[in-house]
Amino acid sequence: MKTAGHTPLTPAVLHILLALSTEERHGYGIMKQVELDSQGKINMGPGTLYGSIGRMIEAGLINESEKKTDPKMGDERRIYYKITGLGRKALTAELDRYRDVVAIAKEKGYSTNALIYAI
Amino acid sequence: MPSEHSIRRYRQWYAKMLRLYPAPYYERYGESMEQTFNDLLRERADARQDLLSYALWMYLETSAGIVKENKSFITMPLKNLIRILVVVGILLLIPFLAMTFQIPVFDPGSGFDAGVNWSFSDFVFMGILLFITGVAIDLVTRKVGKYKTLAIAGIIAVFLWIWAELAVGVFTNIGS
Repeated sequence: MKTAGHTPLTPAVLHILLALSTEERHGYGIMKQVELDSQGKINMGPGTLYGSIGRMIEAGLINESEKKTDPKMGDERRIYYKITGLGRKALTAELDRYRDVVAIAKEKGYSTNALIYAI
Repeated sequence: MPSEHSIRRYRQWYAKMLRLYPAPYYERYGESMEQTFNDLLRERADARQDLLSYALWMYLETSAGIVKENKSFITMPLKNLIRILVVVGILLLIPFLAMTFQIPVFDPGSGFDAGVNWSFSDFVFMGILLFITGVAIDLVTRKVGKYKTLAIAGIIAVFLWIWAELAVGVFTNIGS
């Protein structure tokens, strides 16, 4: 799997990939999903979000989907983003890496709760 | 509704602020960022929370993004710099070898017949000119969205014009 150049991922990139792993979303939709997934611990502004999106598009992890309206959000047409095959591989590799870290920590007798805060 | 008026005003300020991003970045993400800003403020207004402090936080957060993107817009990756230097070195080898082995190579200063006869300062000047041209082409290749080919053609035309001008003087007497 050719993802060595992409891992480890920054928390913002990891959460954006996670948010897009289930469906394509627009910027605000990504933000809301990240907030939900991280239980409010990650709070990105538009500057961080679109900075990360730009770099992820350049790296081939995500790409722009079509511009369309969100029925829940009025008439404005929005650009949607979707995860690519490479993005999915990078996400899997990163989650595997986390899993390995947790396994090693467990072997060493660290509790998972302590580890969550360490990561 | 007062919050509607505030949202509209904060959005207008934000839209002006977004123009400080590098042009290609602004063209690509400006509209989406403005929409997201608006969505976040609207959500805040629906929850009857303070708008000004949240808008100020987003202005600050976006300012950091503007500084970062402008920095990366100007900064050149090291590998590109090395690539340009290698190409400049190879191109300078052509007149050097032509001088050494008396090979006729086109030179606007002397044409095909006289052969190449460059001084050390000619090599230095041509090296600098080629390097600046390379950096400009690299910047255009990485950052310009529309009219990329036209911009590169323009840079090459300017390069050739300066070279010809300094060699024989087409419109001025600089090189003569």
